[in-house]
Amino acid sequence: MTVRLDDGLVRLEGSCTVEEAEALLETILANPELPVDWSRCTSLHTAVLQVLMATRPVLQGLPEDPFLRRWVEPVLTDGREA
Amino acid sequence: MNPLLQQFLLEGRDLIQEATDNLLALERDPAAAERVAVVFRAFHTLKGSSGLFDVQPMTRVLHAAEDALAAVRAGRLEIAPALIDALLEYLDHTARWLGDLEAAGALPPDANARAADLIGRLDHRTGRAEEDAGGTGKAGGAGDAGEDDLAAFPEADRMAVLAAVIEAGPRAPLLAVAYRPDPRCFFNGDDPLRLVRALDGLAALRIGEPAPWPPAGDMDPFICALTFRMLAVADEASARDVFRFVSDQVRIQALDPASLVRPQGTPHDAPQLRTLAAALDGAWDAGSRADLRRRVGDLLPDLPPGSAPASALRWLAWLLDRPDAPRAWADRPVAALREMPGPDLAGRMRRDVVRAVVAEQQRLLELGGPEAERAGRSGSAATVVINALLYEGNEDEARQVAEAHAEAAAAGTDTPLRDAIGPLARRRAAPPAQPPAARSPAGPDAPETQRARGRAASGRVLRVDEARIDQLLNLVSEMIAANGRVAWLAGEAGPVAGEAFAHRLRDVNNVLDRLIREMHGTVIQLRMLPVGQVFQRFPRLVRDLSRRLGKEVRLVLEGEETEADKGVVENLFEPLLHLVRNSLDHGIETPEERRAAGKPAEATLALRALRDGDRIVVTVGDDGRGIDADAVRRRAVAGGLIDPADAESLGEEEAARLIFSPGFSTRETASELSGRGIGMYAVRTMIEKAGGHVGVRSARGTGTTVRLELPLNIAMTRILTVTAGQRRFGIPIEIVRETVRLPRGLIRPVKRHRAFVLRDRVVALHRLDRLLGLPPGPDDAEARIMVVEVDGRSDGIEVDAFGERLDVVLKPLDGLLANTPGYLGTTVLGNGDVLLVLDLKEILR
Repeated sequence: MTVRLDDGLVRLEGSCTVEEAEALLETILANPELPVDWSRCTSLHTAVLQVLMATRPVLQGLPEDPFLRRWVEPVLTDGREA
Repeated sequence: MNPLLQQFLLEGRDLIQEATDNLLALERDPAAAERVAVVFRAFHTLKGSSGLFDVQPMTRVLHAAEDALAAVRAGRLEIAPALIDALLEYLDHTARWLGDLEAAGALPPDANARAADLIGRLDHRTGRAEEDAGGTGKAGGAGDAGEDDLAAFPEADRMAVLAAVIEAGPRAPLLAVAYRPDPRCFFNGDDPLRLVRALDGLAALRIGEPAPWPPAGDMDPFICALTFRMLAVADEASARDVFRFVSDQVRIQALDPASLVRPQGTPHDAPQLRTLAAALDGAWDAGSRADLRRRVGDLLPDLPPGSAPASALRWLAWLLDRPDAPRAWADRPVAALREMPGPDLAGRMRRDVVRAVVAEQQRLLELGGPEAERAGRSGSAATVVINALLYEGNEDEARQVAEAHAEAAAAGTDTPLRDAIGPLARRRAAPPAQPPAARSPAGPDAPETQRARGRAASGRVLRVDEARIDQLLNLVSEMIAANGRVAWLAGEAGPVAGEAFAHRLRDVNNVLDRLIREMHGTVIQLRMLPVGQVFQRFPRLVRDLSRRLGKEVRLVLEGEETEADKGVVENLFEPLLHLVRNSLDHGIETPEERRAAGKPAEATLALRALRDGDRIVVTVGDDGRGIDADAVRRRAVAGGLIDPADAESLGEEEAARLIFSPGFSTRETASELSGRGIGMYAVRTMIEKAGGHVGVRSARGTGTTVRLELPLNIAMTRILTVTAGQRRFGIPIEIVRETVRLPRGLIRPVKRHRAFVLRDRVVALHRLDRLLGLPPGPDDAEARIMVVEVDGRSDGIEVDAFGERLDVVLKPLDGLLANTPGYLGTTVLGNGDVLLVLDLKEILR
């Protein structure tokens, strides 16, 4: 299970595959106020990424993976820090 | 006409001309990037202003053109002949629509369809051009051609990419990758983000998403809605390998790193930029980078961060900080700075327009008048002001006016509306606030600032109705006449008022005389226009015609700045048009013929103007086949224009002149361009009517030059005013030999006429009132007679009274009266009366 609800957080862990996209969307829709912690995520399928982009939850933490850090993180936080 | 529309028509035509000139120049030199900027600005301003009127088809067409030009500026589209043709066609239509707008107040009914057709054609052309330019990008279905590949990357991204390019060393390949995944790609097992991750040397990534996303509840997470744009420092083969399974969804292009260096932002004018731009030329190469860097750093904080000059300066600073960056990368920001000081024309025009609109509506509201009329006026004034404010982007003020209007309507008075519009008008009438950069004139920049302002002030142009200047000219002429009477008085004053008084009167008279003549010269000068106004219509014409004829022609224009009277300049167009067409049609050979004759394939056609004393000389010369004098002789004989014997005796030059005879043509068939042999005769007639001459010089095989010589100024006609049958008329003074007063007893009847003896000659006497069918005037004891000379014969014309001698500008009769015999024309006198000037030659014949 790479998408799970835990202690007031939606956690994304390990490799988040296409199958997770729907589960993530439903979790976020059901708990729109919860932050999403993706610090232990190692890879993200495009389908998961677009769920995050469409719903724009508050993100928490920063993944170890350099690609996610350098290229995906700015996309997901774009426009919120400004 | 609505002053706003009038301004739009005037400015619009200027802009069309400007865009046309620059497009033609671009066609010759597609590398002239600054011309693209000018054309872009012209289209942009046209589009912006057109938005004020109900001309959506025009706005759409202009918008499409602007998009295409933006693509050119972004380097996505090449300046190809097809594109220039399309843009010229757009300008043609815009010009035609301006005409319709002026004549009918609206675009023709087919405008919508025409606009759609035009836009479709440009899309087609640019689409194809883009594919050609794409080169490496054989992506087929990747589509997405309309979006700006590079525009997605902000300045910071670009700088990061270029830093990576520098790090990778010289000749590092740079790629732009546009990836638009198939929406159902997840079902094929694709993960676009994984492919992006696999791309080596990724240096910038922008992920596009739908805007807005559908509501989260409706979202289908398994339909891919994202698009990806990447810049990568990587070689093309490895990138293609990464995307090999989705090659139909990506477009990969090799990119020149310099194309990323592109200042972007809103226009902003700051005088210091001018000094910097000037300093850039030397300083960069001279190695004083540190100094330059400091100046750039000093300037930056003064500029709005979102402005184009700020962007250009940030680029310069970035480049100056990186000695490894190729020098060529700086070309664009440097060019941008040099070009930038052109202030925000579109913005300024918009402000001017809005200011004029608001002021005009305020004036209308202050007019007063009957209640009903005022109610209607305030409604339309409110609408117009609100539209103008929205156009300016001032939504808050627009809302205030709307509220005031509602309040006014409810209260049945326009006071609230006047109160709302008044301050708006006043605020706009005030001089604009100084731009922030000009507020802190740092020592050496201050004079520059002032000079810039002075230039702007003196560059203001006033457009005045021609008729007003003519009236001014007539007034001055009447002043000359009045001062003439003062001179006479001064001469008579001595015995009556004493020599001292007469002397002072003469002094005053002399001063007046000098002032009035100076004024006369100035007013004449007001009517002077540069010949360029006519010349500038030819580049386009020659281009189109020579293409249609399959001839290669280079047009040379010289002496465009030569000035002549407006009437003279405007009358030049038609004769020049005939001559240019003739040259292209008959004079200039096809490229093959020219090569066979040992001449360059490209012919030269030159329009030249120069001033020769009080004449202006305009020549139309080509280096074509010249006039075949033998053929001219034969045709002239065959056409019965000349005897065979006379024809033999004519020299080459004289024979060539025969082409100006009526009904002459050297070609058997009428061509599409030049028509039948009325051409050259028509030219001669037109020029001679304007008081000029034509001449021709031609050498077989080397070309023909036609020379037109015209007076520089409209001939002012000197007239004598007379009264007959209680009306005043003007008589051209050139035919009046003298005026005499004659006791009636000396007039004798001769057969059915009357006559008198003047210096032993019998002169027939006519009464002007009778000649004109007017009621007879009083029979004074003395008859006032002017002796006129017509066709070598003297005639006496009896009038009721003589008036003054005046120099006037004659207006030919036009409209319904155009063919009325007996009148040379009319002139408006200083008091506004219209005076008919008689053609006595015609009346007496």
